[in-house]
Amino acid sequence: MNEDPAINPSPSHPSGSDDEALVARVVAGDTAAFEGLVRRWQSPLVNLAWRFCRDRGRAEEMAQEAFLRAFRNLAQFRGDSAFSTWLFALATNLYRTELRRLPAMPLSLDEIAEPADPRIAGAAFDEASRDESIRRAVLALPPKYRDAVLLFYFHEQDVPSAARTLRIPEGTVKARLFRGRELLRSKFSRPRRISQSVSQSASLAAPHTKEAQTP
Amino acid sequence: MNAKQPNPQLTQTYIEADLDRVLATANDSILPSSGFAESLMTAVHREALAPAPLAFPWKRALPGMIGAVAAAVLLIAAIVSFLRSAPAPGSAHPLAQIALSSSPTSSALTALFTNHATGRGTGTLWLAISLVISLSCLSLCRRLVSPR
Repeated sequence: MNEDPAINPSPSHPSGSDDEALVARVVAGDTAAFEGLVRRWQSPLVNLAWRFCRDRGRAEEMAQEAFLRAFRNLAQFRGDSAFSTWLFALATNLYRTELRRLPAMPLSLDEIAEPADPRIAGAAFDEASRDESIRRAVLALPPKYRDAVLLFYFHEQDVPSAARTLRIPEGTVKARLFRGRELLRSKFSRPRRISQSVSQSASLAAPHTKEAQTP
Repeated sequence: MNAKQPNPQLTQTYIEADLDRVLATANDSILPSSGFAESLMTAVHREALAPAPLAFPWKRALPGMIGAVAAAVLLIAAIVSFLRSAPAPGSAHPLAQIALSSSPTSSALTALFTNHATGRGTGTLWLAISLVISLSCLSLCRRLVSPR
């Protein structure tokens, strides 16, 4: 298993198989046992929310609401799937509803600025803003493509996990992923806007990139 | 001069690589703030202590709901009867005339509507219907809020 804390549970609990036992204790009335589940899954849930909204405060609020909803509905967890699958699906559903109510990215995909072309020497310094442009563009995708892209990367590029979280067939995830990537590609490879972006980057760059400017 | 027109294929490769790099889990994660679990558990304990939400009293509401549905159906039937009886008797379809005359309820309602249309007993029917609906609503509300 990857040791990335963003998706994997906290290592503070040595055994990863006691989720069901904790759930059983909570359902039996031991509210304090829920803290074990919170400590274990807080990082993944906050990170999932962070990917949906890119706002730390809001991400924690959404994750808290997801945990509270999980607490209320814990009796409905039948153990047919892993607890994490159930929890991620519940949280994803909540996050999507929250974003419908108050979008994280009120701009459309067309309104997002293209990142600078990395092949232009002067653009290298602008990597952070380039990364931010890409993240904003992903959030500005139509929701079904956005969700597929976000969940695919959240689950470390694992289509079956993303499909289980979204509760849709793997084929649908693949199709949405393909379409989402295609939309991003088409946005970032428009000749007119690229050359405009190149021009802007080159004008900010060192003199040796001047020849790259458009006339 | 080639720098002016980037190769679209190459640009796409960069975009793919950028997506993988930028959105990879390890590069795009935050840690929950230190008090997150504590504040969440406070909310959970509060939630656990709160009384369970009241269930909707289906048993008490059911008779009233059935009555309301029946009243709505009756009203629709009355309106349909009224609309069917509006044309001249000879112009209506024979089957429709038979259907209308065979039902005593629809005949009575038709008569009432006809009286209304001719000016006799103006508003009586509507007054009666509104009274029935008001009383139904009142009794349903009283039934729902009264102690068990």
